[in-house]
Amino acid sequence: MSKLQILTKGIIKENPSFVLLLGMCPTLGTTTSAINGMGMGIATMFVLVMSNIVISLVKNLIPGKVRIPAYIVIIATLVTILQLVMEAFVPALYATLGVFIPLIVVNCIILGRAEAFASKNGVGDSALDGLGIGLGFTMSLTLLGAVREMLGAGSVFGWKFVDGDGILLFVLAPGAFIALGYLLVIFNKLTSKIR
Amino acid sequence: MVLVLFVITLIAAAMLGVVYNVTKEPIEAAKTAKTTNALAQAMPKFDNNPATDTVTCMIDGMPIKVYKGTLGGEVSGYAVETMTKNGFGGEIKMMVGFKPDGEIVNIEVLQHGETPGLGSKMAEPGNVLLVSFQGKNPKDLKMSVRKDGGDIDVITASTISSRAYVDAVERGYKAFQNIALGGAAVNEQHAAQKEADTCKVVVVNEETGVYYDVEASAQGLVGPIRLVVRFSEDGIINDITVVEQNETEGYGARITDPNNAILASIKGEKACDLKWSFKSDGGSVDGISGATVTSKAYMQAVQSAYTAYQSYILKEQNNE
Amino acid sequence: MEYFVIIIAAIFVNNIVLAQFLGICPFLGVSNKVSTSLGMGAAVTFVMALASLAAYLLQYNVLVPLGIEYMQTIVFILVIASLVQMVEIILKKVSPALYQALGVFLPLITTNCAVLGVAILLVQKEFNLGESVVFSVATAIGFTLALVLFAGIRERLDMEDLPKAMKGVPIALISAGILAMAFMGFSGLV
Repeated sequence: MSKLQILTKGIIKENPSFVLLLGMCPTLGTTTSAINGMGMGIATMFVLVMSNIVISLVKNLIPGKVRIPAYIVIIATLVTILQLVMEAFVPALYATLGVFIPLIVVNCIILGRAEAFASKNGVGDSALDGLGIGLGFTMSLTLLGAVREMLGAGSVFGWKFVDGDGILLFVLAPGAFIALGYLLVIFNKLTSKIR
Repeated sequence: MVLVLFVITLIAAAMLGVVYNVTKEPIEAAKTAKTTNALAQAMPKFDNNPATDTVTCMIDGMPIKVYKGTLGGEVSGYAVETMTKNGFGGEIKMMVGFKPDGEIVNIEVLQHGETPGLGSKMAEPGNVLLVSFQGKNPKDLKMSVRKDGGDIDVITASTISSRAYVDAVERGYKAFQNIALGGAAVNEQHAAQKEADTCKVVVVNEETGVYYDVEASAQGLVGPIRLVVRFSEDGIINDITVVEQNETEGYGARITDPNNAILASIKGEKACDLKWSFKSDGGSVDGISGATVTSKAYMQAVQSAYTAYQSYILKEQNNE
Repeated sequence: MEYFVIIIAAIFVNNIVLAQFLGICPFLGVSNKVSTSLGMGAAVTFVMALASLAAYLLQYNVLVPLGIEYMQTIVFILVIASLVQMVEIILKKVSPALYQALGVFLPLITTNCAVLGVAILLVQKEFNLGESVVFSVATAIGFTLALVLFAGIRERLDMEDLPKAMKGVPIALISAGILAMAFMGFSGLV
């Protein structure tokens, strides 16, 4: 696999939200607006890249049997660091994303990539893999956030293009499920045509 | 194997410690900035630091914090950090700014869990609720929504949220009245607070409910007056017993009389609703005629006891 | 009264899956059959109650006294992971029948964000010990309710003739949306 392939596979072919269907909780929970979705995506990407780098660095030092607990400790540490940094420098975003920031720890994408990629590959490739999957995750969260904001509030990234309220349902909980469901239908349709 | 895991955890903990210490100050700064920002938005112009000049008052079992702003030494206004538990999505916290005469300057919603797009509009600038309050004095307003016969417009399709908003503002106004209009200046409250630190609070469980006996004292005409104030759970003054006094027989000593005028005027009242000055000065407390100094001392002691009761309840709530 | 409000809020109004979006993975993954979703629900209830108890005790007896609340995430996830392991081992020894019923679901629970989520939420909401346990059990019941209802819907969906692109997860998500809409009717109840 070339470097470019490692980087780009996360965006379409192995897109975590649309193809692998991993990390659904933040995907649905934080995408009330495009900017929130993007914030969550970037936060996850940070942890993903860092955990991939750290784990690929220490992979030979960790005995196979305590592998998973060790990974969890590493990931939890990185998440806590992220939590503290966000609380200090972007308190508003931290407050909006709320409980979903500490819950990055149990996002299956992170542990999944650690186990499937970083524990078998070099530092450079692992970083690229993390970046690629992270980008894919960020993109799909931003897209879903943008769609929900567009339909629900008549704006994108806070920029209002329709006067009035929009279809409120899409900002509320049911809208998250429905919007993601239809996005998946469109995604499936498009990818099946390409194949 | 276990060693490796232990070493990893150790390194992780050490790293977290470092990051925590680095980010500690910015986090504190961000939190203060939030309050300062809300204060600046809500209050009339000030040049002191209102965050250092505060009194907390318990109303309906909720802590309401009053900030005092001064400009060039003169009181320029008050901000009240008030709350309600009646929101559609739970608690709503807001900062209400008052001019010294009680006119509402601005309202900043600090925290809410209302439905996005509906109740959440209460946090937006220029929403109908805010407009109904801004520039008005609550004493001229009927503090309920139009649907319930009041003067406040509601956000469309969000009656519960709107009612909760009004509830919070009303509670804030009560605290404002209590502190700013009640005769007791914030400084005196501070003195009472200091005095209150020495008060003893005893929790009494009786068949009729839980009571808090608070012992407080103040300097009377002749020596100290010591009394025990019994509060019920919701801050109502249940009874007051004088433990020690050397006041003038027939005048000041009448404070020991279970039917004396002062006690009669405050017994059974919610302490937070009281204005701590004599009725002749626009307050809600009667004095014993011919014994002003004693009456004042008595009132001060009750006030200290109340402050001690409040901080005790606050502490108790925080421990839970 | 207080407990009653917490219970109703956790089961219906703030349903952990349909309103708070926690535990979506098992919600989509283990909801093909009513019987399996009941098993998963039981396992989650069991672990969640234990985990909240442990989280509460750790938070107020270790983290707060030592002033290291920022270690919360790392401590909670480790406790939950070891708790799940322990429950698995004990269950295997003590009650093979129960292990047979719940065993397969247990490893899945470590990465169930609902469990960690509830532990963090009960600290955030400043519940006391009793409220914490009640809250966690009620939340788990809400989780089970959503899961079982959804499984019932999916069992029927399987037999429907759907466009190919809609089959599986997409239609499941859309039905979940409609279920969430129904649950929104409960809001404002408390």
